[in-house]
Amino acid sequence: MVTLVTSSVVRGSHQGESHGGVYLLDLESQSVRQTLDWNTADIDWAGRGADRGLRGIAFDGDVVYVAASDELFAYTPDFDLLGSWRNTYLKHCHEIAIYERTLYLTSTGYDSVLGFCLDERRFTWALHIDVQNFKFRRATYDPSGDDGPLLLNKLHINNVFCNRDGMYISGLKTGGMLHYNADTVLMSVELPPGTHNARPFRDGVLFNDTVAGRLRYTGRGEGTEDRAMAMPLYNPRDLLNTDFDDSGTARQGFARGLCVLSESVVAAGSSPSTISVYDLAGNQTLLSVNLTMDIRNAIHGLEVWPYA
Amino acid sequence: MKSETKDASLAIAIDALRCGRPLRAEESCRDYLVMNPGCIDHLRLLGKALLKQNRLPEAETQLRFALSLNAGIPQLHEDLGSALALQKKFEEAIPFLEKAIQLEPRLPLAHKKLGQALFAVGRGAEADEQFEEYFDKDPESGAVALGMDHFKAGRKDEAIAAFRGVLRSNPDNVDAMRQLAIVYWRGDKNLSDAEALLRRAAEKAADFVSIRLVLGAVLIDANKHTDAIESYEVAAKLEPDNPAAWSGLGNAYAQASYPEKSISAFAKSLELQSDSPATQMGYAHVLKTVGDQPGAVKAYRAAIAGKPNFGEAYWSLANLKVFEFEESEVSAMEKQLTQSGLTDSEEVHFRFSLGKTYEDRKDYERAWHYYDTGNKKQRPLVSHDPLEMELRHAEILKTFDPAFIREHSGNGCDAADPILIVGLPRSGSTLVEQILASHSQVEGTSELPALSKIAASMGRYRPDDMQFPRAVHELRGKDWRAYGMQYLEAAQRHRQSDRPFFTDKLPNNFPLVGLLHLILPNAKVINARRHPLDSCMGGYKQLFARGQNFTYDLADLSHYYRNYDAVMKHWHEVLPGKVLDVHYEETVSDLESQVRRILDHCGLPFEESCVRFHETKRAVKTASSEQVRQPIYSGALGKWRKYQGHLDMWIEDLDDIIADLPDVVRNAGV
Repeated sequence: MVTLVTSSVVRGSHQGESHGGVYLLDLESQSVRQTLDWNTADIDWAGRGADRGLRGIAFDGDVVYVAASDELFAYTPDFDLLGSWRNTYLKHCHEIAIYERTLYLTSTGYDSVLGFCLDERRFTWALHIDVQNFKFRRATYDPSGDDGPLLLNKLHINNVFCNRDGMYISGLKTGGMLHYNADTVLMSVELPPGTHNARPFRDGVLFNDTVAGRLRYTGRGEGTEDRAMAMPLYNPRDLLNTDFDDSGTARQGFARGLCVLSESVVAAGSSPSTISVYDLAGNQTLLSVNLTMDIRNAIHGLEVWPYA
Repeated sequence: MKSETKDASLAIAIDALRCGRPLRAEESCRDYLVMNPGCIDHLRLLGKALLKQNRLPEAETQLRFALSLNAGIPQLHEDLGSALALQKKFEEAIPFLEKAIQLEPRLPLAHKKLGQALFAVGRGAEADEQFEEYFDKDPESGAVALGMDHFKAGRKDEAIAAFRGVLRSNPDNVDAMRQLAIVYWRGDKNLSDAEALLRRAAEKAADFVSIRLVLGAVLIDANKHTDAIESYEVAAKLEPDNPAAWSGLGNAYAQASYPEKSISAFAKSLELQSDSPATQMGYAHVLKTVGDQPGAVKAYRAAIAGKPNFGEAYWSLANLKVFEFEESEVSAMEKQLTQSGLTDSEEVHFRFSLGKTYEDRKDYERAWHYYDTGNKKQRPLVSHDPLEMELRHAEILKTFDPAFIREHSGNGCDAADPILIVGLPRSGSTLVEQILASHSQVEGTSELPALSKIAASMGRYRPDDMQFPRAVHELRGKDWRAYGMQYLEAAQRHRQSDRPFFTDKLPNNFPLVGLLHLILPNAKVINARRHPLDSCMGGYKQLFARGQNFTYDLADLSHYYRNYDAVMKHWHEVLPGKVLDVHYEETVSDLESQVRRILDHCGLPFEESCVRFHETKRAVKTASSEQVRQPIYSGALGKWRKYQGHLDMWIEDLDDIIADLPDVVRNAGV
């Protein structure tokens, strides 16, 4: 049976408290084990989310890479720390992805994707994306140089996915999923504002429509295969820490975190930290496992654990 | 008066100054100085607060008094030097700035100010020395100041480079973010980068009021009215006595169609500062929208009192349509036209205002003179390409042919809520809207940009630059429905009731009837028509706040009318029964019959209130707002005849269209 690995962010947590972690979820027993508790104090605590928590997860052989806001960590499968790396242009990293021998990291602050060479273990490449009048412009730059972009956070690029067709990039304000083919950046498909985790899937796109609290699949056809799977919602009386934030950011059903289990079955995360598994062909939720009822605690990264 | 300790009072004043709230700083200092009139620290901060408010003579007085008490404080000399230099008393300023540097050579800004003063009096070499000193002392502030100087001098690219340079070395420099945002906004019209910078700056300095004010203005320009409201609300909360925060909020509320909230915010701003012509103007506009004509007139006149060359305020009075200027106001306008230094835009406003004035006085030759010269002055200020417009219309008609409509029918969204009123401006569309909005089942919204935005969105992000209408060939069945839903969602943001139907009265939607039909097949369309010469003359006499650029030239107008007529004929042909033509002249001559026709077309039962449309209270933003608040009148029928001697070209150009009109329309005003 499948085991999933997920990371979390605890919004509004205070210095000295845990502000995230990594968990392993055994889908068969629906048991959860926390493998990492993230309570480092050396972060910027300003704002609700800010630098808190752990984000994207990726694997290279026996190395588990986990991204924090401005640092990349490498662990053994037993979560012994192997090393960590920072970069000037890595600010508020969200999702990460490995393709061939490069680990790509999103950098929301710099509207960039950074490339980390897995062999040299250093940042070697960076791509900045800008949009003016609905036209995207791209520029590669040296992540160790000083002529990179400004810290604007204009597109809030939070997801990167790579396959042999190129790189797919999306964010809260990109307008949709972008495709980069080493030459140009073009809109691949327009998506609702606030989208997370957009990636190609079958002949369409799979993504978390975070504002609507739905995992969606949209294909190229006339819609018979399109799906909108609702995130689980709980009785508000059962939620914890609901009064810490009046901005409405920390709410239940906040859809984020996504991984594919098969051509039909996918898993998605939501808040308060919950993992749900959906059968798209059958248009049904197969199971939901709740990690905590603390509304501040939100799923971030979600992957199939390859070491089970 | 609050009894703060000295330190607490100073802390409040310093914090207020740091956050760009000089009024608050002044208040705190004055409170303390009442009991402690000789406190040098408070006098200095009071001087600074007054300087920040540009109240220079008051600042000078306070600072001179402080120096008389203690001449050994370098900052006092510097601030007094600033107060004098800002009043262009450069010779007087120089010794104070020199003394400041003598007492404290590390004062970085003093070097800059001295450099500027020396430069102003022609001592260039000495000025350069001071500038170099300044940049050596505080390179980051120096670079920001240099960027500001570049921008003021029109060197936009150099300014951008300077601010970007600062942000590369210190991404959190709030001043550089704010200044770069201003350059992007005002210099480049690059609203998205300006917004991103200001949002970051606001995150870093949450209580810096001036960032919120600039952000609010940028958001209004970007049509993000709800976000603008939020930004101004934060500013007003941080500094409740700041008139700019309240007037910005009033403006944002007005743009977002919350007239009552807008009125409250403008009133609050004027309570704090009554002599702001721009605020009076905004206040007047929104009073006009809700039908408070006396209040609007008073506020427009207050705006003029504060700024006698405020042509836009005069035009706004004229544009009430039911207002008559007093003789002194007419003389004032004519005098303004003889003044040098009037901008083209101001001159245009005065010419249109005088055109309206003389038309009301039935002096049609003088009226024509002012309208015609106003239009000739306005035409080069706006962009309109008749050929491009004609080609676009032709492409729409070619695309939405019977086969295409047949092929894609049945895919749209079933909702029957929208009733679109199209036509040309000044052709009776507001009257039709008011009639419908007086029905218990219909909500009158306003001129919604939703449909044109959908059309425009089809071309965005495309590498091949394919636009609407060609892009519709690529739509799948589900896309038509999705666009229908998108239109309804956008319209919903402008709705305030749960009535089952609503009007969308944007005249320029007339080329989009085919698109509307395929995305919302059950939507109704009414074409508000008027005698072509009255329609064109109505446009020629109108100075629009924005858009309708085809109305400022006689040839453009008749050309546009022919295009409009051809487009509407096409819709009648390919979508029989979809569009109801409502002639203004027929509505005036037989109101009840036309009301019944309109309601029948919309599938609505007859209601007497629609005939008494002028009794309906609702916000109306268009030029006809005051006209639809009075019973139907026939005074505007055949008005073109008053200018017939000037309209030969139109009469010839539109001959065949006029010949096809019903008699009651063709002969109106005879």
